[in-house]
Amino acid sequence: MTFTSPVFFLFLPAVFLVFRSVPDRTRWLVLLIASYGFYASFESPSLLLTLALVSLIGYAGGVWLGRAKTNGRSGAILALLIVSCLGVLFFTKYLPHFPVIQHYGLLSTIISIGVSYYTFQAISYLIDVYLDVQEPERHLGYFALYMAFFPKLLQGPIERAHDLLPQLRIPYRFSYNNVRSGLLLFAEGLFCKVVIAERLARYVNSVYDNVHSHTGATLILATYCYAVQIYCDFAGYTDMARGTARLFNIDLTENFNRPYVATSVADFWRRWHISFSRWILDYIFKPLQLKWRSWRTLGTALALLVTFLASGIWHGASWGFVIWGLLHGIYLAGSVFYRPYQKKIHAALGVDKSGWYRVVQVFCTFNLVSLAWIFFRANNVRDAFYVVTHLATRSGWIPTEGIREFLSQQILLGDHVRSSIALLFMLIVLFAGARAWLGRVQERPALIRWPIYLAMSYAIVMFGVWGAGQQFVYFAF
Amino acid sequence: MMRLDLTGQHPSVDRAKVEPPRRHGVLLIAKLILTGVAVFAAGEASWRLVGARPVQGDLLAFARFRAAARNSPSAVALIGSSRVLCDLDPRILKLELPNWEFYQLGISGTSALPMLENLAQDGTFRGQVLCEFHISYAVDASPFPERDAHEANWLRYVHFIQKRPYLDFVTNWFTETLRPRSALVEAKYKDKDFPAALFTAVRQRLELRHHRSESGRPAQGVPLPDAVPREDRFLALHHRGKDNSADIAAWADLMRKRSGRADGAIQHIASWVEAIRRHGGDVIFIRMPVTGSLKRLEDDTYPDQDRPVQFLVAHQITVIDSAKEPTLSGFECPDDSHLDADDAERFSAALSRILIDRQLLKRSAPDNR
Repeated sequence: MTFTSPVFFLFLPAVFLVFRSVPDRTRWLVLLIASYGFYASFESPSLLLTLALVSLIGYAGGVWLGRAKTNGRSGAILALLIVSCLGVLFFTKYLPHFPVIQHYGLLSTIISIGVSYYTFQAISYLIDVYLDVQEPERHLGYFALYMAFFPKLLQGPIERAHDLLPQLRIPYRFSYNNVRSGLLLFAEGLFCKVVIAERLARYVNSVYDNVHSHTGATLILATYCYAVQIYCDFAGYTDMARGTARLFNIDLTENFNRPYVATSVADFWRRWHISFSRWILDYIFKPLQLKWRSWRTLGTALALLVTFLASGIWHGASWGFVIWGLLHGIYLAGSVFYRPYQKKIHAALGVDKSGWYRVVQVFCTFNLVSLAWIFFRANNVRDAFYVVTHLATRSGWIPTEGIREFLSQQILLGDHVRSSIALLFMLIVLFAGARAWLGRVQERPALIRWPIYLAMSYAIVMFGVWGAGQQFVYFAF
Repeated sequence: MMRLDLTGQHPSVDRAKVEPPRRHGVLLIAKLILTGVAVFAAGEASWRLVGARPVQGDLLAFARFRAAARNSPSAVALIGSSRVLCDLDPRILKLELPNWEFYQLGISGTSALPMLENLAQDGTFRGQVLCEFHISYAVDASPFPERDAHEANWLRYVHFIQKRPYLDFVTNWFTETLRPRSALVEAKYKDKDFPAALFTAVRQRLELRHHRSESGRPAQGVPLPDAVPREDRFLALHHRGKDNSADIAAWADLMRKRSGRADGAIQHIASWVEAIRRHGGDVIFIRMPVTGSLKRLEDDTYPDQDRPVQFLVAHQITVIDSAKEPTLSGFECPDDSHLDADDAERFSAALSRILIDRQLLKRSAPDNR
């Protein structure tokens, strides 16, 4: 069951009704049972066991760390707990991909949907307890719910304990505004996913599953489309997760802030998958930077490189993800050396506060990020290098080839009218900051907002791509 | 986006003042229902404008026939692919063999074996089976890989009557109940694309107008693309003039991809027939007519076609090969794979006479065991 499964549209109201009808002291139990039921819908006992195990490690570890602070052994305990969490992650996510394991057909039933998200959440909780940022949670039920809360279970956001745990304890009072804004947020996410991401996926998949048949403009267009697809897919999911949580008066972290209008790669990472980038910044980059502070700029650059390499590995056991992480590491490490000269160069060129220069920055950043997406999306590294080396193929640069391909075949299968619709959606998402528009619509008069609500609902039903086998890109991570 | 409203929870706020009245919940539900109704109505109207119509849910009809075939020694289950759906007309069979009840259980785009297995495992099925036999059943790897898209269709049908994972059951029940009533549900169920349908409808409308202006009289209506089965699930299709080259190319591609040559399938078939016989029934295999390029393709792909048939015969299993029966061999398949609706009637009549003449199915009522 995912947020786009028909069954979810029965599951969510049922959970909400039960949640509303029970007293405050048992509401956590309703959400916990619902969360484990939601996870059980993937019909893999190993998933439930993994979730329960990581929750137990986190809970017992937190209590243990709290007690051990007085005797000075908490550092060793923390290391042991982190290794335990990473061990679970390694066992479920990476070990099944080892050739020897695959050869003997071992661990073939293990799937790892959502594991990396709640494992990172457990690690952040343990570190926060160790650093005295967070009190150890003594109630196993609330802690288990913090780990398993179903809206954020599969793809995050990776919630910090001090953000989510207190919200779980607040007595519930029905709020019309929360339910309304939650439903609208959900609808907005659904629109991004089924109308934009799924339609673009048709084109992207057709090109990337057969890259050697394409060159030049087709590859560029498919790469740009993938950039939009993955954004709408992931941000759409996050909106649906936040909207769902809001029904229960719980506010999840905002994970995206119009990342493709970022003016630098560093700015992009402040806007993209925010909960994850904050996590790697706090728990990988900052400790490394502190350790290598004597190397000054070089230390910072190295810390960035290692951090983003780890980020690539987090996404999966594939060289494509490693190269994607390394590329972002190189972009950011490079900017560390460039930054001292940046202002001087801008002043010399007279472009410091120019609007046009900002457009150029956005364009450059978008292209750097899109270049890295090639390694993220390609089926293997060989395909990725083929795409990179054939982006500027002369024959492909004649716009007709790529544009014709785009218009005549793929996105909505068949014709100019439908491709134009998809292009329109792309433009909305890219340049109009579409994800915030619904929030603003809520403040408009009913005569304006209701036609928009109805049009969006109509578009979701009629233009959305629904069907079996639909997955979210970030499910795999 | 609006921030979360937690004012009601803050200790400094008087809850009585900020708590919304109960009617807000009712209002919200009313708005949701109204939105749902409006969108459903608009969607339904849109699909009907582009020519879509609701159809009888085939899964439900299939499930109804499968249930009716239980506990009846006079039941005859017709199982196989679209060839069975198109070539065997239950009404004609019933005319010739009035004491038997024929249940069309063919599943388009799939082999007969999953259904044969399903019947064999069902102790309540005591009837006869007229089962399509294709040479691939005997020589290709079996049982059928579930992930193979080619076999996905049978999964839907067999799971619907048999396995029913609890989540699928809800959605199947919901869609199958609404499909005969709603063009929107039918279209979404079939994974049809509205923008594509809209564009096609507009183009056809323009072409029709152009044609009308040229000829000076109204043009014929646009034929609906999907065949609507009869109530007995018989597909009375007219294939003449249809270009089937794409389907045959896809079939050829499928044949090339089928790798493992495993004799296991034929052993399965024998064991399933044994199981059905133990329940009091029997199985009669029929090799359906195939002609033209598809026949040549099958002959090239499976050069030794007699051996599996001989194996079945050695197990006292009846096989009727339409190519070798004088009364069945003269039929041409306009698309190389299926008989035309008119020929299907004659083919069914000829087949029923073979069944009677060889006492495979008697004209009289079967024993009421």
